[in-house]
Amino acid sequence: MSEHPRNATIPRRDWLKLVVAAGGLLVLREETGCSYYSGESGAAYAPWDFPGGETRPEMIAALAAILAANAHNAQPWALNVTASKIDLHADFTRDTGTVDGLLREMYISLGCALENLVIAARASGRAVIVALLPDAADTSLVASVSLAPAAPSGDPLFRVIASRHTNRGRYADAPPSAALLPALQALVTEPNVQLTFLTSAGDKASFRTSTIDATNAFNADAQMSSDSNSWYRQSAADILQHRDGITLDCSGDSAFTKFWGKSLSRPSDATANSYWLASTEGDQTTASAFCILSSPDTNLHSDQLSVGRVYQRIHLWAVNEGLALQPLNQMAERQDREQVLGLPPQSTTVLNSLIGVPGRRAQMLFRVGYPWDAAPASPRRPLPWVLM
Amino acid sequence: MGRRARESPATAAVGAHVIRPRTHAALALVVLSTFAASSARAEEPKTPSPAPAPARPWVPTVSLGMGSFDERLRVRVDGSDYDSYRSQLRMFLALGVSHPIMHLRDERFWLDGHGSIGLGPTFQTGHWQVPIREDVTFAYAATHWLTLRAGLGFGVTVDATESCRSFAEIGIPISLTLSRAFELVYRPMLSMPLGSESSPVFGGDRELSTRLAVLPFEVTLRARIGALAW
Repeated sequence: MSEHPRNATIPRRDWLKLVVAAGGLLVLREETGCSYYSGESGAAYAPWDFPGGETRPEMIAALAAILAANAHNAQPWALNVTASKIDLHADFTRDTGTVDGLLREMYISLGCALENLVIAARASGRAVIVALLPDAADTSLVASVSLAPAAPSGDPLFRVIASRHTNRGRYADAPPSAALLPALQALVTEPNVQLTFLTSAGDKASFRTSTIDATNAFNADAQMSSDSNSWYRQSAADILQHRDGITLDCSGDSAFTKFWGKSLSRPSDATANSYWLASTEGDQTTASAFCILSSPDTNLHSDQLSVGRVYQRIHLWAVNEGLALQPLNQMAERQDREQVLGLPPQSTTVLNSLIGVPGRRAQMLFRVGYPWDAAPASPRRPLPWVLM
Repeated sequence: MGRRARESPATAAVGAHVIRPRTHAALALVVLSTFAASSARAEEPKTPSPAPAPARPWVPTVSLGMGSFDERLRVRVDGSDYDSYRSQLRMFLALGVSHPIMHLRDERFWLDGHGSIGLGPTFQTGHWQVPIREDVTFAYAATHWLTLRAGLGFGVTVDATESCRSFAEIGIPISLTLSRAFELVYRPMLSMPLGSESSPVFGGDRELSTRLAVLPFEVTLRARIGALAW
């Protein structure tokens, strides 16, 4: 009774069709790059095993530098490392085009790398002397860091270098501690950098609305949109090959969205933009406070390097205190775009109003809050790829 | 009939094409009825006419469900509590067994139960949950092909990714069983957190758990596999 009738089995020809179809599907998935992969795994994430087995102070400092926050995860740096000096160079081949028409974000990113480098060098037993933009003839050399033996600093920020990740998820609906602003102000030690801290309902609503408006303007600008999305890495193979850029795992989207996003083919720019806008209207503008780091409106690269150092320091401190941060630079990007193209200064006007101090220029915008979920790591190029 | 008889041969030919899907549907209904009849022999007394107790009353089931659950993030800052909430969708595939509890004098009514264990992901966080449940339902055979059930269910959903986000549940399963083979279950429930995850934050601490809440949304499609009943 339990035997199947002979004619109930699948004929050999149908088996063949099934095998061919399955094979075709596999080839198609390979070709289109649509297949699910787990996040934060593989060689692209290996640099987060920091400092690994490395014991040389200058190499620990270099390994820390490549884990810094940076715009679009473009990692626009190159390093020349010796036992007594580390030169930090800008890699101008890794700019983000019209997204960063004045290279503001590139220099802020390099400032972040410099701060990680300095913190790690001091924690590893080196005194440092930093020279910003030391050679007018070499525009790619953004900082030269001299190293000399010293007692390890014991800086607690060193311990969180590998656990600092940008958190693009939802933050709790809770106000900041009254002690947060003084604590953040204490971290802003660079003379040309100022912190604007927005916590009132009106200021937060204005920041949120203007950020959404700037996102819409960004998406409507075909060149900015294209330049931005060219840094999007869809598949595991893309991530492994480039080890940079924007990934679905770091998008702050739900696990469901990530699953389908990875399983399907690369989205069009319009689709990617719509998801970004939805995130900006939703989770990514939840915050205890919005912050603006500004510099004098002379807009010097040296000031942008300082802003980067302050941002990286604040982010490390925040992670150490259980807080989350995410840059929200749409308004600053539009401010630059308005300047480059001579457009009406919409974002510029809003930013000046939020800063409220004449003669300042917004350089770096971010939100801070209590996160619902942990932030994942982003892919990183390994140190050998960035050594000169 | 008269209209059909007046149709021209050409119209009839066109009609034949239109009728073909109906033929397939009829065939599907016959197959479904056969399967249902097989399930019925194993599962429930034939209703509404009186029938002897089923010979094989334990019926394996496979369920595919989707529902939501709520989470709470409590932040204590400078001595004050601030609660934030979010709702997450989840889905699960469960294996279970329907089993008898008690037959009543009127054979159209009886008490039965359904125990199950499942596995499925949450949509926001991608955690894996294991819902383990036992429902006790009062069943009423409204017609030969339709059985209505309502009752009380108890269970626990274990978060296999982070156990502190597990929760207990008391549900009210309400279902329609069609042809004794397919069941559509609506199961609102009360969820009770079984733990929480705490960590210090600047100025206070943070506590994440599921929420003590009424969860109005959960729908399950269940197949009762009469052929495997015992």
